[in-house]
This record gives sequence, C-alpha cells and structure tokens, in this order.
Amino acid sequence: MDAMVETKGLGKTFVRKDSTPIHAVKGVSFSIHRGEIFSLLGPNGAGKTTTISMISGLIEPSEGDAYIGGYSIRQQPRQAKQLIGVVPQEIALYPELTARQNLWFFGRMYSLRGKELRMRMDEVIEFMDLEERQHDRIDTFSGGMKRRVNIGVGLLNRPQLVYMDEPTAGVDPQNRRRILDTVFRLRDEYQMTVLYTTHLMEEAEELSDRIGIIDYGEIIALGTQAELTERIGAEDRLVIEVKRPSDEETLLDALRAHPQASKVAYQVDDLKDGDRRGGNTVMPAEEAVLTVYCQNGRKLLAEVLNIIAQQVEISSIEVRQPDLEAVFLHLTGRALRD
Amino acid sequence: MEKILTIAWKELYTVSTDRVLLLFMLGTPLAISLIIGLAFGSSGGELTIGVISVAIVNLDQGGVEGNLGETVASILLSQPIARSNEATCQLSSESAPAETRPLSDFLNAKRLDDPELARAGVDEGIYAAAVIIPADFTSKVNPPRDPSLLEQTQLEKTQVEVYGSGASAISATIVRSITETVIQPFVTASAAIRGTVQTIFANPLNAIEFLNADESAFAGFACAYNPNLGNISLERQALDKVQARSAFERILVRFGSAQAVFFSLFTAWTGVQSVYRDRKTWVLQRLLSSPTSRWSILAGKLLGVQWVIVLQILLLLVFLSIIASVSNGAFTFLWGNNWLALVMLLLSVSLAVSGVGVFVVGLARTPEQATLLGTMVSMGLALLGGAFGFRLGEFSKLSLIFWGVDGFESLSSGDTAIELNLLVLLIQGLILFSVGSWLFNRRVQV
Ligand SMILES: Nc1ncnc2c1ncn2[C@@H]1O[C@H](COP(=O)(O)OP(=O)(O)OP(=O)(O)O)[C@@H](O)[C@H]1O
Ligand SMILES: [Mg+2]
Repeated sequence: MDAMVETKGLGKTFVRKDSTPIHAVKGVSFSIHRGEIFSLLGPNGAGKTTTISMISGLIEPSEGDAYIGGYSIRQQPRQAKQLIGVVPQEIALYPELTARQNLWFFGRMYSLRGKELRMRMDEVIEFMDLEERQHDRIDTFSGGMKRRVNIGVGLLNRPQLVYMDEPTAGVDPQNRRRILDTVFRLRDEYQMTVLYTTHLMEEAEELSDRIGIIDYGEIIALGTQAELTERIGAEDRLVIEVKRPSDEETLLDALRAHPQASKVAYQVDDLKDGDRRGGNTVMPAEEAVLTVYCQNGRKLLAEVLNIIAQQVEISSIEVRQPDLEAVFLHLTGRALRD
Repeated sequence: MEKILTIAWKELYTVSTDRVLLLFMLGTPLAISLIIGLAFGSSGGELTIGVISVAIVNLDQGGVEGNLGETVASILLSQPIARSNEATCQLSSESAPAETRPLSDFLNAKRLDDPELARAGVDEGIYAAAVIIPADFTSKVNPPRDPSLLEQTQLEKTQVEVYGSGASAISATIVRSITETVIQPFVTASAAIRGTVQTIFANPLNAIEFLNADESAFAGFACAYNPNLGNISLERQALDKVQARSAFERILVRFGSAQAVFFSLFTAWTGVQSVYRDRKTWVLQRLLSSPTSRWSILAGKLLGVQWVIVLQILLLLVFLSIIASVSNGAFTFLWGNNWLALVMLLLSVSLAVSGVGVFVVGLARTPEQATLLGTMVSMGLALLGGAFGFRLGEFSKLSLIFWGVDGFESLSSGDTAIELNLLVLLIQGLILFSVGSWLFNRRVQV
C-alpha cells in the first residue's frame, strides 16, 4: 500500500540541564497509509508530540529519518513541509489578532496571497464554522472556538497530510463531537491522511482506521482495533463488584479452578473507599472487584455467578469485550488512564 | 522576503493595537520631558523656576578687541556689559520684550577668581555649577585679523568649562544649556564671518547682536542688540542655519531625545524577547513547521522590532516639536532643517538600540534573565548617557544615548557635523546586532 508517512528508526533523545538524557522516542518505525486516519494512542509523556515534531520538521531527530510522501524530512524539509498541515497541541495562534488575521498571517507563511489566499480563508472559515466570529480577536474566544481556529489554520494550505496533536484537549462534549466529525470529513470529503494523537481510548477507537499504541517512546502495538485485540488473545472480561467476602482465598480458588477462566484478578481499594466516604474515620473497603478473563464471557457468566453467589453478595456485574484499554493493560500491566 | 515583511508587519501591527504598551512607549517619555521642560525651562511663567546658584570665573586675558570672556561673564551675571569703546549698556526692563524674563530670574550668579575654589564650591553643594572661562577664550574665538594668516588658521572651539554637580544634575544641565546659548553666538559668528573678517572685527559683539536679534529668552542679549553699532555685513545664509533655542526648547531637545532613546531600549529588548512567548504558545513551532526558514522568522521579528523603534523615536521627536510649537504659539521644529542628517541619525540610533535588544536577549539564557538584563542595561545606558539629567563626563560616551542625544542637539542647533555620532552608532549597532543575532539564533531552537 502507498505510504504517506514512513518512519525508519526515528528517535529523539533530549538532554536535561543536569545532562541526564531523556529518551523521549526510541527508534520507532511505522508507516501511515494514504487516506487513512491513524491514531497514536498513549498516556501523557509517551512521546506523541515529540514524534509529531520530528515528522513535521520542527525538531531534528537524534536518529533515523521520516519520509513524507517520499520526501525525507531531513534532506528535503521544504518539499515535505508543503504536504503537511499541523495542528499543534497548544493553541498556536496570536491572541491579539482576529481569527481572520491569524488565517491570513499563516496563509502567507505558505506563500499564499491575494485572491487565492482569500479563497482559502473563506473555505476554512466555512469548513470550521467560524463565520460569525471571524472578525473577533482570538483572546475573546471560548476554548472550543480557539480549538476550531487552531485546526483551521492547519488546513489552509490544503495539505495531503494533517497532524492533529490532541485537538480535543479541554473541549466540551459538543465541540469535541464537532471536531471528531471534522476529522472524518477530512478523510472522506477531502481524501486527506490524518495522524491523530490522543490519550483517550474512546477517541482512538471511534476515529481510527489503524492505531499505534505508544508508551515510553516505543510503539508497543500497531494495527486495526480488531488486530490489536486479537493479538492479545482477545479475551473477554467479567467484571464483578462484590461485597467483600470474609474468606477471600476460598472464593478465588473456586474461580481459578474453573477450566475456562484463564486468569482471575482481585482488587480491593481501601484508600479510595475511605476517601469516597470522606471524613477521618478509617474504614476498610467493604467492596471488592473481581475480574475473570475468559474466551467467551457471556457463556461463562452463568457459571461464574453460580460459584460466587453462594459466597458473597454481588453489587454489579458486567461483561467487557476486549478493547484498547485491555490491550494497553495487557501489554504494559498499567491502565491507560493512570 | 515577502514572509519576512509579513512577520515584521505583524509585529508592528501587534504593537499598534496595544494601548497600554503605546502609552508606555510614547506617553511616559513625553510626560517626563514635558514635566522637566516646564519645571526648568518654562518661558510661559506658569511654573516658578528655582533660582540656580552658579559660580562664574573669568580667566580670559582678552585680546586687542577687548575681553569676550568678560562679556560672557557679564551676561551670566546679569551685569551691565562694559565695552571698551562704547557707553555702558544698561540692563533695563524696558529694553526687554514684555514676556521675557531676565536671566537673573534663573541664575544667582556669583563671580569668583579662583577656578579651584569654584569647583570646590560645586562639590560642597554651594553652587549647582561653575562656569569657568579659559584664559584664551578671546583669542580662540577671534580669528586672526590678518587675512593672510586666516588661510592657515583653523578656528578652534572654545573650552569654556561648566563644572556641574551630580547632586543637582538638572540645574547643572540648565546652566550648561544657558552657557552654551550665551557662548554659541561667539563661536558661530566666528565661523560665519570667515569671509568678512575685516568688517566684523570692527566690533565682534555685533555678531551676538545679529544672531540674537529675535532671541527673547535672555534679557542680557536684548541689551546687546544695537543696530547702530558698527557697519556689519554678515551673510544672511549663514545666519539662517543657526537656530536660537529657548531654554525650554533646549530641555525638550536634550531630555526629550534622551527619553526617546531610553524608552526605545525597552521596546528593543521586550520586542526581541517576545520570541519566548511565541515559543511558549507554539506559534513559533507552527511557523517552523511551515515552509518558512528559521532565518526568515528571525529576520522578520528583528525587522519588525526595528520598525517599531524607528516609529517610536520618530513620533516622540514629532510630539516634542508639537509641544514646543504649542508652548511658543508658533510652529517650531526642534530638529534642525537638515532632513537627510536627521533621517540618518534616526536610523543609526534605531540600529544601535535594536542591537542592544538583540544582544541582551541573545545573551540571557531564560526570558526572566532577559528581563533582568534588559532592565539593567537600559537603566545603565540611561544613567551613563544622561537620560536622568546628568552626564558622567567621558564615561557618557560609552552610552549610545549620549551619541544620539548629542547628535540631536547638534542638528537642533543647526550644526550638521554629526558624522562622528553616526559612525559610533552605526558601528556599535552593527557589532551588537551581528553578535546578538548569532546568540539569539540559538534561542529560536525549539
Ligand atoms: N524539549 C524537551 N526537553 C526535554 N524533555 C522533553 C522535551 N520535550 C519533551 N520532553 C520529554 O519527552 C517525553 C515525551 O514528551 P511528549 O511531549 O512527546 O509526550 P506526549 O506523548 O505528547 O505527552 P502529552 O500527552 O502530555 O502531550 C516527556 O518525558 C517529556 O518530558
Ligand atoms: Mg503532547
């Protein structure tokens, strides 16, 4: 398949003031296909922004190279940059200028001018639904509006490839919906390739044709959502909240003895429980969460209930299909949200 | 190039929309100049002027034509001017135009014989300043009478010393300014009359009279004016170049231009420093990820700052002229009539100023350091260069403010020989600019 972006052993090591190195990105190689929405999913500090900065020619990679539409970002940055539109994680706009003035200014930086520039500006303003406020200063805008202008500026040069670095950060649900729809439109109506970074599993799941999971500067998994969940064994999880039993071990042993349960996890959260009730009375947790991993959750449900119900009181029960959260947990042993 | 201009234009536009910043850039220096001007150079009489104590020492040994030093001393002392071949001219209130005020309103001058004693008096705070007229004053001001000698003789500048005290800096500056006003006609006259030496030497004082025919600030001059003295033919052309300035105007010129340059220093380093803000908001990164070279971004920013500085100083010069015009009730352009020289001086000063800005920000490691360093350097240059009302002798020449103000003063008084000022400012500007840009370039890394 035709690759829009191809990175080869791309890495970045920052050097701190005390000269200790930070390996922000550790020699990653991946490719993004033309016309797809590719998400880079990872927790804070995983190296998403650093990766984008390198493949947009903003910072020099410490190792490796990236090819944008065939152009090396190190050797032919000018040609490569012409193909890219960048939507930074921050609101990279001049707050003292109006939305329109910002578009004009950045349009000029892509050597657009005159009628052509005005046409592109109108196009972007319409596309991002900014007509009403286009003559207002950015510093009078709400967070969601600023985000939309921020995206708009990245689209001015009609790029083949758009980088969007956490474009929904700090945005209300309504604006978030709008932004996600915009991303789809870019792919479907304008045949653009989108590289989208986020630390939100739901966004990655909804948007992406393919997903790369990044953690500590490494891509630890890459593929479609189905591929990813399959790869980790695609197990369902039965998540059961129970009143804490007096004899925990017997209960767990009984569950583990079941031939279809591949793994049983048990979690008691004393501190959280105490916090929730507030005050200074120290309270041991009264609830616990049991997680049973198995091939077919629905099938096993009745049997598991059977075993537990004899020993403890059940507060809730849920069958979870494998998702990216599970993939991340499986690969790193940590929850994505931490 | 278009991108550079766009970035520069954006910088200028941003400043022009920031009212608070504009007030600081233009309002504050004007207010300071106006207050000082009114307090110490008022000719309208709304504000009373503190009487300044001065010691006058005349060491002039005179010449064949008399003692010019004595004339200067007499004017400063508001005494009748004694002339060797004329009846004593009395200082009378009738002879002065109604709205002018005698010099004795400004100066409480006392005659001393010993220059050391005078300087000591200044140091002790008895006098704000001491005016010491050298022994060779007359002989230096007077060109040789023999026309054959004239060809080889260079006219020398007089070396009247105004010894000021740092403690009463403003007063000392005013004394200096008054003394210059009194002396200048002698010097200018001797330059103007090179071609008509014989006639003028019938009576050198005629030069003063002519030059001050419409000078109203000092009653002393009004006395000296007597069209019947001698038969003089001075070239009108030469005289037109000389612009007599009232004390108020002189203060506007000196303090006003000093404030203009001083405040433009803030514009310089804060303007350059704004690149840190651009980096924080990721605007800089956005620019760098567009097909715009780092060099263009840098050049655009610096060019924009340069434009802002030029406009700031230019507007301040214009506003100072407007103040002078309003005060005089007639159009008064303070900055001479040599436009080319004025523009060149303005550009050289701006270059030197923005050089300081780039250098300071380039040198600092963080925006906080840049603020500290920028403030300190601006204050230091102002202190040295006379923006606070006093100069520090030869040390003042370390400050671009001195060279700028000195240039503006020259132009203001009709003297266009400012090549040295231009040279110093340009060289300083170019050096600081290149070194600063090189340093600053590293700060634009992300
Ligand atoms: N200029 C820099 N100097 C030093 N360290 C840096 C620099 N930029 C990033 N880092 C470090 O590199 C690592 C990766 O940062 P990066 O910004 O790429 O993460 P991210 O995935 O974008 O996180 P977030 O979701 O918070 O935006 C972090 O540990 C960060 O502290
Ligand atoms: Mg980031």
